[in-house]
Amino acid sequence: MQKYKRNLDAIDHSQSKYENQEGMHTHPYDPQLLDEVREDFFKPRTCKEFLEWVDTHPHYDTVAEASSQYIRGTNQDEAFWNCAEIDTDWKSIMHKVSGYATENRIDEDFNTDYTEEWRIHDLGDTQETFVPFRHNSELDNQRKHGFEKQYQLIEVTLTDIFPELKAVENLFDMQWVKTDINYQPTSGAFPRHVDFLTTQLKMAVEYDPEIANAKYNPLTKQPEGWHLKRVLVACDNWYPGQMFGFEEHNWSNWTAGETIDFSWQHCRHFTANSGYNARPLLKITGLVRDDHWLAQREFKRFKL
Amino acid sequence: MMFFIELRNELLQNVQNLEKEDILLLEGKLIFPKKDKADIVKEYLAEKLNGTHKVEQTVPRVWAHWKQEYESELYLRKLQ
Repeated sequence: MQKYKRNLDAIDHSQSKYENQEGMHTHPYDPQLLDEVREDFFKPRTCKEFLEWVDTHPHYDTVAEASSQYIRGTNQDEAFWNCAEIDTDWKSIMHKVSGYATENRIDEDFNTDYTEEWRIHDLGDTQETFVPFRHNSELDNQRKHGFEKQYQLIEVTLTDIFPELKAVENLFDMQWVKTDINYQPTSGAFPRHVDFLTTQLKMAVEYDPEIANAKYNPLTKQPEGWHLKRVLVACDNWYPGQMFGFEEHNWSNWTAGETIDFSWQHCRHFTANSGYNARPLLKITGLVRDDHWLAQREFKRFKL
Repeated sequence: MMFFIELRNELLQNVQNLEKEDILLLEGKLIFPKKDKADIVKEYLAEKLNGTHKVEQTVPRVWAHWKQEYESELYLRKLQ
């Protein structure tokens, strides 16, 4: 894969300058600095304005940290919660996923360097309608701390390789939906972080003027009138050694088809695979309206 | 979910002589430049969250790259 590093020096950062940048990217972040960045983050912006601001921000990792409002002691069911159970032939799906992984040497060639996305499948022409997002400062920071192999993404939405998983995607009835298999080979580790789900928001902003001009809510980290959702579907049963943490809470011992929703906005989450089996999760991300069952925090059982 | 900025606003309204810069957030914990401010916030939170959470108070490690020193930090522990 071609290495990809954004030329941020070529961009005007004058709107994102802070008086004292010393220690800007050093953990643990300076609490005073985080407060300053949080105030900047809370300035009123439309979704389009917000994306332009964060996409070119030289201190993305600090903005992400400052955007979290999480207080330790929060109930587990506010950090992550079961939202669905999907009964389908996961055994044959896993057979196919494992075969695909073997064929493409996903485990053997596990590498998550500065690439456009940590993707296995060549998207060809469809890449033009998909905007990847991975910020330099986020990767720099992770790599500085030794996190060099995180996970691989196997494309679902934009290809015809996994129609069974597209059927799962359809169950959630999201708009601007994008689905990948988040495939974490053994030894992978993704350090604690919060998200902006910028890839999905960017797709929506590029194609939908209503969302582009909608107010960005910095507390919910989504467009006013919309819910940005990301659900995770276990494709296989849990194996000991596979870790998925949400601050002081942990998701474990899952079974294939178990599906969770979570506070990607505020609850720092992290994964590691210290077992001896790869860990594939289906990651479905998109936008829903207030009356959608996910926004209402309902639980659904599906059979496919 | 309890959000930091909402909790801070509540504290600023209900705890006397508390200013915005007296209470900051670090990785889910409330961190204070002055211990006496942490003490009064601890008292307020212990009363508010009585029966649901324990309020833990510790002395934070102060790092060389930080712009100021901190004397105390608070975090909540959910009671089973």
